Amino acid sequence: MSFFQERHLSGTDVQPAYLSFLDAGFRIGQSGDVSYLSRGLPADILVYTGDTLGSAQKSSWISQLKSENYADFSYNINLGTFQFRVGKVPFSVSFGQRSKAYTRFSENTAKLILNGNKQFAGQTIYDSTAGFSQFSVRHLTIGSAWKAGKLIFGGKVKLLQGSSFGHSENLDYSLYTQMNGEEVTTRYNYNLFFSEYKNLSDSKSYGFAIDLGAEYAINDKLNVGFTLSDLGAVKWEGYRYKVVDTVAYNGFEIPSLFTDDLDFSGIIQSQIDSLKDKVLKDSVVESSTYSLPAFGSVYVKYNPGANTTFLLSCDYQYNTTNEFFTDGLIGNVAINQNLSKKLALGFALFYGGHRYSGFSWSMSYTGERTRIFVALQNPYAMFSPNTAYNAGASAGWSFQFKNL
Amino acid sequence: MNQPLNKYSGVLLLLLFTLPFACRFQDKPIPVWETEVLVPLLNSHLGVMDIIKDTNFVSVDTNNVLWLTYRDTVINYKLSDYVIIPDSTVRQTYSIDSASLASQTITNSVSLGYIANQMYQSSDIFLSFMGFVILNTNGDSIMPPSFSGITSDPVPLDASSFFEQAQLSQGFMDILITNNLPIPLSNVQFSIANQSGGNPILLDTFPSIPVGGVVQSTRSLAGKLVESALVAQIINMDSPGSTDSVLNDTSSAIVVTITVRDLRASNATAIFPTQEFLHDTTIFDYNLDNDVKLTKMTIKSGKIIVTAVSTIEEQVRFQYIIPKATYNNQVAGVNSVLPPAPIGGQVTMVKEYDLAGHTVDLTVDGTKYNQMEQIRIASIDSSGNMITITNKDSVFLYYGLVDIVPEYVEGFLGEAHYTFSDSSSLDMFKNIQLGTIELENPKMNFTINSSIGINGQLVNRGVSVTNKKTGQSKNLEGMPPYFDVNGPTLSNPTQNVTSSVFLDKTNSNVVDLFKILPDFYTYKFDVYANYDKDPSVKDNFATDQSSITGVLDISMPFSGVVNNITLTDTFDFNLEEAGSLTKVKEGTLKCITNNSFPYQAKIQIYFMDEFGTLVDSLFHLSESQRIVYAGIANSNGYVESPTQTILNSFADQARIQKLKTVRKAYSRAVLDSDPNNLVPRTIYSTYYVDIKLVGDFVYLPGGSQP
Repeated sequence: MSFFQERHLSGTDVQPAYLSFLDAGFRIGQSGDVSYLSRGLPADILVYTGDTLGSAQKSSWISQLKSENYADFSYNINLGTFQFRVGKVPFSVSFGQRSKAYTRFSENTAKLILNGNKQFAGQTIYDSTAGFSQFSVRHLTIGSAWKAGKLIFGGKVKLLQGSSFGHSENLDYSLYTQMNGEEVTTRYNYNLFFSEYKNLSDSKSYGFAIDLGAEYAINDKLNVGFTLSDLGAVKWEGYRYKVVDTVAYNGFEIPSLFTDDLDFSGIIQSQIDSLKDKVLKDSVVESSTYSLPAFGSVYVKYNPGANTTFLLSCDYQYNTTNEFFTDGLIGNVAINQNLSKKLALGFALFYGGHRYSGFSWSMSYTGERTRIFVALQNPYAMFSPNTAYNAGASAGWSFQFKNL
Repeated sequence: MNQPLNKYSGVLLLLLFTLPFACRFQDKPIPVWETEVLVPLLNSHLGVMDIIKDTNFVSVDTNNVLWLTYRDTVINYKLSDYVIIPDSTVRQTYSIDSASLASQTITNSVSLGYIANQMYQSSDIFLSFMGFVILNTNGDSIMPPSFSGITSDPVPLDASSFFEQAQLSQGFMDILITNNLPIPLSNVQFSIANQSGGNPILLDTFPSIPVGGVVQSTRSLAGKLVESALVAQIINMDSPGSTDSVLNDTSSAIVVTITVRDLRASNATAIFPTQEFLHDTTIFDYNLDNDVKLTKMTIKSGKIIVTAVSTIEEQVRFQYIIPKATYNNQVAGVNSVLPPAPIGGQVTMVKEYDLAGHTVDLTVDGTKYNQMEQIRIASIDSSGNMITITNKDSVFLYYGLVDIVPEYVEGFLGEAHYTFSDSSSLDMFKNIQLGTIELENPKMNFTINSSIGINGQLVNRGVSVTNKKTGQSKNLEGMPPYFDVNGPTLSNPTQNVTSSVFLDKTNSNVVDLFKILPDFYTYKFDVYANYDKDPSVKDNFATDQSSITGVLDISMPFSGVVNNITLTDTFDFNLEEAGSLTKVKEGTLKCITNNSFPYQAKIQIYFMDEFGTLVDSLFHLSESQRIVYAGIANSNGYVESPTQTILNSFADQARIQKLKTVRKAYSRAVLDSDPNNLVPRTIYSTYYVDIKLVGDFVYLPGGSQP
């Protein structure tokens, strides 16, 4: 099993790294994973590289929209991992960056964005579920584990430094375009917290989190365990905006087309400024603490033979901050088969409702000192009609300098 | 607003106003796609006031009918314009030539015994014998013989209590000789000289003095240097004797009385008596412009000023009085007292007297005017001290009335002639470039208000208007060539008398005058004050608040037939500055108008680049296709609801590119009455035209431009 896979995508390697590196010796390594989860927006948005979106492509996208759509993109990169042992106590230190972005919008919002408002002339559209959340943090992690008889217990402490944060606690709007376009009326309601991007030396947003886990060997073939991840929060230095307003916009107002010395540009600029002020009013500078989306899992591992491992787990994504990130129960059924002494193959099915369901496979290579791991999550829809796009990848390598 | 939200503000703005956003993932190229956007771009609500713009020229009556009004003050004539009181200051210097010394009298006697003793000591045996006889027969009757050549010793005269020395420029010495001797005298020669020597100050001869007789002689002392120590002497005295016996009384004497008087010294060290060197009453004759003759004046502001400078070592007084200038029964004047000047130095004193509120009677004898009586008194106060005054000592005086601003004048205010002419812009129609408005009922009112107690005549030299854009001009017809302008009378001085000339279409050509939409007018009026008035009747008056004003009022209900009225404007226009509009690929610009004016309008906007070269125009339509239709009037001639017109202008990608070079725009609207119903329409203040520009665009969001 790959020691660096801390929270996998496929479920084939559910045991956290800090429980598995007890025998790993002195190692260095790098790892990373990326995932994209969406409903309504196809994954090719991520890989689209053309300058001009063709009408066929746009129509394809629109045709897949649901009444409620979302997109969840995340990545986690450990730029460097160092594993070592002090006495009999193993430690792991890693440094990296992780980020997660989520947006949710209605079908009409997507149509509005892709096709414009003319299609809605004469009618009111609205989106009462719109929202987004995004965070990006740098982490410095120190982990350790102990083995006591049949029990393995481990934990990690993560020092976090925020690099950017944006979060809507409320964001909805309605839009009415008059038939001839003389007036566009919008009602908007948003409550935003925002912390602009800060680099390593500038950021004043800090936090910490811990991971905990334990595994108990009932017998030679049956193990049970649990993991708790990201129990922590970041205190962000940022700005809060609370605005509820209705704006009837009927073009930039020109006092008189026949006024001498009309400063056309000046008039428009002042009205743009006024409009911005109206949209962005009521901002306050404050510090806000937001929890990380916590994750919990309990699992059972069964090893009927030396080369096969079955795994049954139940994961729970818990979000103390808001409703956006994927949460709820996810069930995993997975098998990991050692094809040889060096190669292992995994396959998993997971189901967490329409928002997070699919399958994945993984493969690992374990050499004398080198380990390589790759995992891929299904890149296309399943469980129609409410299938979400669910794609992800995980990869890593490590090298053992010394077997301690 | 805090800068950090700009990242999100863009998203919000786009979301809220239908402008799409593009998700930015890493460094991927931002895709561009076409959206169809229907978005209002500009709107303009043009009410009546917005079109007329300058509300100085517009009013609305109770029926909401719009009136064009214009007012200009063409004559403004007030007291300070024609009665200007000049300063009456005078500079004078008084030297010591004007200073006098006190008159003095000295009496001296020459007794018979003194004379007999002189005779006794004579070398002439006869005279010596006769002297012996007289001295020894005192109290007896004798028959005195004739004698001659009797002289006396010099007798000192002491004037040191009056002066030490004086160079006299003027003065007289009176010598009175009384003969109390018992014998007549003849050929009496008498002299007075300074004790220090020199020529006698006085040398006089009396041919005959009978017994008991008195002779007198007066001699000028001008040019004489007189010292305090003088000597008097009888140089010669003869007598014919007596044929009759007379009582010999040696105590009887010749009495000489010397009086000096009317002394004025050019240089003197003396005790100067208190004396006035100036005391007169004079008239200051105000020479006023415009042949103004004032009998009375009340002063609003002004003052008497007196500046005195003295080098005299005695206290000097100067009084300057205007006896006919009174306020609360108090006469105006200044009393200046200068202390003694230091030896070789001078003293200065400045005094002022506020004349505000004083009334000045400017008449003399009831026949002379502009005459201000003034009394001047200048004097030296005697301290009793011996002081020196030379002909270099002086008293300098500067005095008079200055900065006089009258509050009220009375008299004859002249026969002045004033011309009032000007050329002014008439801004009522300045925004109209071309065309005509046949206004139904314009009115002009020329009103003259006078609160000056003077009558006159106004002569109309002509009023004309011009439209400088078209070059058309019109002369006003119907205004009288001249008319009287009357003011209030003394019996009702606060009255404001109004004279006016009213012109409308019934008595003038005002309809034609305004048909050319003038933007300029000229006028010339002559005003003749006291025209044909007898100057001897001085009943004109004015206060400082009085004025004659001539006001030209133009007013007309905006009601008429409009033909080809053209409104234009030029303004900066930069599509690139309008931000997202530059991402328009193609589309239709919709001009939606709602017009309640009873006039239709052919509208167009021309676009120019930064060099002023015409690039494009808004509508690629013929004139007849870009008409904004007129509001439809009901049976009462009132438009209740506006008429909507939508004009479309399509712009393909090439045209959009061309429009991006536009930097200036020129709007043009040509207004006409409804050609199918050419009746005068009244404009109400409730009328308006709403213009909305809507973009029906194919829009290209994202990071790239087409």
